[in-house]
Amino acid sequence: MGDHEARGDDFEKKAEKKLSGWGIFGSKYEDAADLFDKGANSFKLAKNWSRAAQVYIKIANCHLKGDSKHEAASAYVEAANCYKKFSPQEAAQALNQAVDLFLEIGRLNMAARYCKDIGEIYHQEQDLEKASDYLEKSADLFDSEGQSSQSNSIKQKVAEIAAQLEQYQKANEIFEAIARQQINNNLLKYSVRGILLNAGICQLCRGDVVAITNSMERYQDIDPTFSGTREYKLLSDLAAAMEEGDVAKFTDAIKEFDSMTRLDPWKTTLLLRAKNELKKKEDDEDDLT
Amino acid sequence: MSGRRSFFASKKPSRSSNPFDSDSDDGGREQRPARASSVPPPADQRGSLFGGGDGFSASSAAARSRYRNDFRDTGGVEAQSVQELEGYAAYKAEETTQRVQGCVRIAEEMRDTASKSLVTIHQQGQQITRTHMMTLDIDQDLSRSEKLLGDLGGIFSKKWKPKKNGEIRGPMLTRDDSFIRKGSHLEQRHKLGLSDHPPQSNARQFHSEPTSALQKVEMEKAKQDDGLSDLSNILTELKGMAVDMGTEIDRQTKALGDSEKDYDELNFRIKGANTRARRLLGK
Repeated sequence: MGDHEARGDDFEKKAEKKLSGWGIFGSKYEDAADLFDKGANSFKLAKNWSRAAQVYIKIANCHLKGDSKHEAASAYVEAANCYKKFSPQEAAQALNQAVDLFLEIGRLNMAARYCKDIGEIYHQEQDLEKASDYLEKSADLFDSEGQSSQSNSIKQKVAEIAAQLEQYQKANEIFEAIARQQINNNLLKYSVRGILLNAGICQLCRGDVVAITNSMERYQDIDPTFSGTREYKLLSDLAAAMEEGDVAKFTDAIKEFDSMTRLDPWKTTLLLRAKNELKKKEDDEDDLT
Repeated sequence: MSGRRSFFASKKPSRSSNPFDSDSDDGGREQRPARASSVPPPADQRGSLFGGGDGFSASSAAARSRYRNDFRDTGGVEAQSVQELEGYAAYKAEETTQRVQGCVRIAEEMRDTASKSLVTIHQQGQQITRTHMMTLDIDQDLSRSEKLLGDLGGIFSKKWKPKKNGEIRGPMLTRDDSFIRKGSHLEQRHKLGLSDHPPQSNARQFHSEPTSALQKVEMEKAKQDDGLSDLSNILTELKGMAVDMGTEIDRQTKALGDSEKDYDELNFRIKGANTRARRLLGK
């Protein structure tokens, strides 16, 4: 380990020396970048991630001075991979710089990929607002590159985050838009009922019974076969339970559905919110009587 | 079945921490989750999230254990009273219902997995198309490079013409109207009664508890019919999914074959351009 670190230091010093010297036609930046790269590899072998990341940032600066934006962006990505080991925030910043460079040189696909990575980093760090922003940006970029399938899967994540942030209307609109798009495709039509269930759960969390009923009619327009599904039955049972203010009926409907299809954590969290709201209303009514 | 627990019989869950249970006995009002709560329920909580009975309400635990080993301990089936046999029939009917529901559950899981696979296959198809589209970009850049390499020779040198085996065609856009459907198509099919996945039978509601064992058996039969109907619908849908998956995989196989030809052609031309560049540098 110590041996690798010493070699890394040596390469870094040589690179710094190269930068401070004279060079013909900017070749000194290329040479310095090569030496820094060797140094960064040595630091990686020594598992000194912070030094490796710093060196990759220096490589990026060398490439920027030599006007090689693609190489600079790649160096920022390498730096981010090192930062991920100990500082997700700095990893996100490095990736953000890479994204800016990829956008400048028109590599939208790469920019979209790394935007998605940034979003996922922020999601893991529980910074949901930032995660949502970056994932939306990523979805837009994938869309503009004609990758609708990738875009839709990211939009679903955005909608889920929006629902977690209690932006139920936004989440519902995204889910419905995805469902409308997917229903006309032979491969994607089968996942529509799951997406419409997610949209319905968002409406339930808003607690507006009229809106829920209207939504279910809309879902029927999107997918005419939806009314025959267990997802539709769950939503209609939950809507009825909300209208009656019956917590027990609400619980039974969820139990019945879960006995066949296990509810994922996202659905569980939102249905718990809806149930708590219902319970609160029930308690308030009890207080009044 | 002797002494062995039914595979599909649901385990008795601990009802202590089920957040969906009506907990009027907990005194205080539940707090609303934090605004940015993305934390899923803890695993142990999720394990007991939806409590339910153990599924066998027909008779006592002692009787059940007797049924389970087919009255082997009490002189066999022949030695039992009519009442005992009726109870046994009810137990067996209930057990069959559990099995059918277990099958439906597995079929639902398969359907879920299949729909995710279809989404992945669709993404893969788009990736294949996109990478094949890149051959056209590479072709343009390579043509420009070949022109430059041709112009680089000396004044008296023979004009260099790059060799080509064929055209770079790029992806064939074979997804016609039969694949990406028109918006109204599903609705028209539905109105004609040609639903793509037939509506699932909503389970019958039994308002009164059965009084006799025979009524219990009849009720269980009705539940089994509902379960089998659901199973049939899911399997029909799975068949449709398998067909669509097969069609798409065939399309992708053909697309990969076409792109392979284009990549071979590009490879051949790049080798030619490299040879030309080496010759120029050698002069």
